[in-house]
Amino acid sequence: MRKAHINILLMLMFLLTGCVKDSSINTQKTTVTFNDTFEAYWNGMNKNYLFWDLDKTNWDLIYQNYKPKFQKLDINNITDQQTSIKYFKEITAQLIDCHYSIAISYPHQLPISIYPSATRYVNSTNYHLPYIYYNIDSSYLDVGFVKGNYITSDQQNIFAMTGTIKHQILYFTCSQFGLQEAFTANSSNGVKLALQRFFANVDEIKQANYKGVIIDVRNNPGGNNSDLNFFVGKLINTSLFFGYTKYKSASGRFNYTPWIKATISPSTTNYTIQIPIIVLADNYSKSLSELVTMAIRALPKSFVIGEPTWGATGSLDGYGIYNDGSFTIGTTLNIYEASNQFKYIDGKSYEGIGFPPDQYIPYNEQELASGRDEQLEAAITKISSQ
Amino acid sequence: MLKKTFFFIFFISSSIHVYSQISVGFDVGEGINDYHMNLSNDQSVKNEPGIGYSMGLNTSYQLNSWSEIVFLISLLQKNYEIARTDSLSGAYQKYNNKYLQVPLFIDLKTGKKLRLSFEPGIFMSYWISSRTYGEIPNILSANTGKDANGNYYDQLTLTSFNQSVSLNAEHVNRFEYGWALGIQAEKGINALCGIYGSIRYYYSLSDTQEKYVLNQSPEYNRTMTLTIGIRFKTKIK
Repeated sequence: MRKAHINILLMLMFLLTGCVKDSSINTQKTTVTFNDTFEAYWNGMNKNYLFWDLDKTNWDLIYQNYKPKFQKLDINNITDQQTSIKYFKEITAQLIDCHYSIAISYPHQLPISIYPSATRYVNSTNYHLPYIYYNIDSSYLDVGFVKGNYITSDQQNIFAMTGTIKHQILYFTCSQFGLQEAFTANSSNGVKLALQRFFANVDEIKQANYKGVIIDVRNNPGGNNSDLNFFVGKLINTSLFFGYTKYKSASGRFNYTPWIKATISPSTTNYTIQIPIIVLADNYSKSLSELVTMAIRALPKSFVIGEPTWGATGSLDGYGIYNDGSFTIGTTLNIYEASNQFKYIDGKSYEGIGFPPDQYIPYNEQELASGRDEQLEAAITKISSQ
Repeated sequence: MLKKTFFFIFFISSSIHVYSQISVGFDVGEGINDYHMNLSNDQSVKNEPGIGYSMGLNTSYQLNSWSEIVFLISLLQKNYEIARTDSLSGAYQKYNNKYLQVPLFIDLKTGKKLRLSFEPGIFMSYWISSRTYGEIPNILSANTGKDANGNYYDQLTLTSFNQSVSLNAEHVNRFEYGWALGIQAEKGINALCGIYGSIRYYYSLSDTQEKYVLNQSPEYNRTMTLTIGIRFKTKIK
């Protein structure tokens, strides 16, 4: 447990201080100037950033204020490189895209990463360390629960666990999404076994007289977009409309496509789940976890318990098809950002805010240390009282 | 240049009372619009011209035996398409933009039975409405597949849309102006009636966007119309 905590702390240092220590130092002296780099960065953001219609950052003022500052810097001077990192932190501090980060690789410097939403979170009053809940949550499950791992094609280690609670409640959790890949893998793997068990239990909901379902996406940073349809699709028998998406349509700052309906197609089920479905979410539920939370919340008899999610409700274009989102500037800057904007069925964007729970149960480190998960217990109580 | 223009106008004006004649007519046809925008930094994308309708009423005022002033009120579409190419072909976004346009031409004519005109002019227009439709890959429709080599890939389906576009006054310039050029051939049916065909080109000089951000790339319409019409002449004394 202690070792796990140290690992978490190290991971958080990476996330929250925004500094990635990498063994590879860029030793190439570059002929590109800071003036060119800033110009390309400003124009790239102007074109690619998705949230200009929501963001309060005055991008024109950023240009006017920082262009002269960058002009004075020498990109091959280490002190000036540090100054530029300070400038980039100032420029990006209030950007609401919670996927947003910049990886900077200057000559003769270790790579540095800036992650504005993590910096904001660590300075907020709600801040707490991430917690791996399934270590204690397995104690709530009936004998015979299934858990296991799968290494995805991009080397992500996914953990999934499923079982029943008091033989009345179905429970499923996963450490991140990549479930469809695990499920369709030729080889047997722990995640596939957990999914097979969970889906079989979902198919037996009527016969087994289950009272509710708990989907736990706490401390889940998201993952493959395909899991939205794959996983949530198993819980529905008709298309589920849960919001809208839009993208950039051209180079202009406000050139957007129209809002396009976001719907999830049902998989193979031919019935609607009539029992309560509760999602457990926390401050570390990010990206696809937030979309899964919002999609399930659009179902009848659904409820969200825990904390507001991270607030990264856009998705990442891992396909290179949208002319927006992430971009690079030479070998110096790698800007990582959302490729679409998402608006929930209530017409609101939760980007930078986080999707709020219906029942707020804060993280309680002391109770968790004693082996008690108050958020899970609240979900069990909620289902039992229905 | 100004001096030459002045003398030209004076020369035409001086003969108005001799040849004054008013014609009214209407025409219908099609327009092809080329929308100039900066897509140089975009991958697998091209800007395609759009076809739309053009219809209008016109009044011409004959100045002398070889010239007349033509004033039009026309309703036309200035459409265009942003199409994806390469592996993304099939995805597109089309814009149908409706404009009310008022060009003013000076027709310089030659011929008798078949009168040919050269029409330099100017125009102003007002952007009435806009609609967009198309198909776009939906990131939320992703489905993981596996190719023959066992590599995983995500497949996105195209989602269609068809919506009106809000012409936000802060971002959109609804007024347009520019110069125009046309050629026309007219065949008289009788002394008071003639049919004609026109090709006109409208070259906008105004950005369709308000200047609302720094380093903004301007966007322009360039529209060519092909119309046929009928004109009725009324002599006045």
